[in-house]
Amino acid sequence: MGRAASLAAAALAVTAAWWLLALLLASPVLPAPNVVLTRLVTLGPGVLLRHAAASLLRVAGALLLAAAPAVPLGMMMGRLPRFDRVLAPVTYLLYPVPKIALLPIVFLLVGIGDLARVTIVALVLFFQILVAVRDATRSIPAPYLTSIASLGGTRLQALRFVLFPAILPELLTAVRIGTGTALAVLFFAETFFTNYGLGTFIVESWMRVSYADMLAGIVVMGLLGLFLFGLIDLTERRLCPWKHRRHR
Amino acid sequence: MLRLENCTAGYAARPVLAPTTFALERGETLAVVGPSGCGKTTLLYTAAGLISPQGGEILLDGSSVKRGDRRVGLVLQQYGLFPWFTVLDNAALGLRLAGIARAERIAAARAALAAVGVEALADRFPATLSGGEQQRVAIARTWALRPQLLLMDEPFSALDALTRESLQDMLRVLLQTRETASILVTHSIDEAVLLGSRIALMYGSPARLDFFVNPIAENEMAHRRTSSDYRDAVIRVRNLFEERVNG
Repeated sequence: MGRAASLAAAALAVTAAWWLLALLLASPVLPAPNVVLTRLVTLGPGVLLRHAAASLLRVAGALLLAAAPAVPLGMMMGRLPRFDRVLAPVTYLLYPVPKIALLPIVFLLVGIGDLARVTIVALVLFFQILVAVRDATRSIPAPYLTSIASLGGTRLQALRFVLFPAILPELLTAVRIGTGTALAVLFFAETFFTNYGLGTFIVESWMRVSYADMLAGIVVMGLLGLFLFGLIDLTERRLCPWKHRRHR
Repeated sequence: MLRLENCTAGYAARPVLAPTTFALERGETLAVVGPSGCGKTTLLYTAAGLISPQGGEILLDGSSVKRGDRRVGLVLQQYGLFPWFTVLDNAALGLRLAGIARAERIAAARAALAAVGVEALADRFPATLSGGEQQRVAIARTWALRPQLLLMDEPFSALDALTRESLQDMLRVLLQTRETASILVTHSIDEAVLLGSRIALMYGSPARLDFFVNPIAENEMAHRRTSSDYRDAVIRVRNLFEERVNG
């Protein structure tokens, strides 16, 4: 089955299950897919796209804010045991803390603007990327580094031609896993002090008891997730082609 | 050409290699045989400049060998190839690191791949190759740099018997095409006799080396594995080895 066909089959299965549940519950809280689809059409593309774009920009900003320090720090922790001995306990202490609990502190420290929402999502992604990159760097077989050194490679060339390509698949896996959590955290962070974002739209629709709007927002949030995962898959296929051609 | 002068090597306070002196000329292959863990790889990495000698010096054409010295090529037992590069890019990597222009390095890499018989695999990724093919590419990558000294760390030990024999034959032919000096570290006496013009038995702790001229070095016909001269030579070296190792 091709990629498009499996996507269509999955969409069909989810819609069928949703329809069935809506029929069984027969409650205004869960409108049927056709009602939500009609509402999506009447709302027009402008409204929800503006909210989705706001959410997408926040996720993208958070990813950059998290990866910029997490990748080099993770690589240093993976390569330098002394550095890891200092940073690993701090990481293990802070990693399990639910970052969403820090939202009030972040609002107080960086203000109630978008930077606060981006920061809270970046905090979620930071630790996932840090630990994944650290472990991926640790597991690089030593002969790779011997090989590059024997070929006359400098430390910078080893970073570019060995360390970075070696950790790239694990980095993308961390981003893939982190994206799901990031969207969930963003939903919550968008319910405060903002007029744009899918989280705002969904909660506001709920407050207005407009369940069709609420479901429309949830559908778009799902589509946003699908878009992000598709983008990560595409990036992986472009940047890590060796992972997809394993057959002799 | 290559000269080790009272060279000692090891890790921190643990000496691995006792003071060693020997010279290797162009076109000569020194096969180093020794039990596992005796320090063969340490000797090789020291000669490659990857480990600094604890004492003495290593000279190649009169100048010291330093880390990343491109006059020296190293072929490892496994994990030598980078899975994220195609065969061609792997073969051209050493030249790329040296700053050679793309067209020139691709031509040199293709020539090296052709020399080891894997030019047709140029666009494949290493994970899609057999162990023997991967090792041919690893040799090609080093060969493309035209090293004056080729160092090989048990390059065929992870391969099945038939593939190993095929690669041993390929290497013999390859080494004859250039006046490259080479050191082959192996645990196989058969391989040492087949490929070495001289054989060094490595034993003890810290390890010392005893050198012998290969009894069949100048006898081309004897390199057929089925020849009695070859089998006699293997038995003689094996007996010498057992004498040294067992005291």
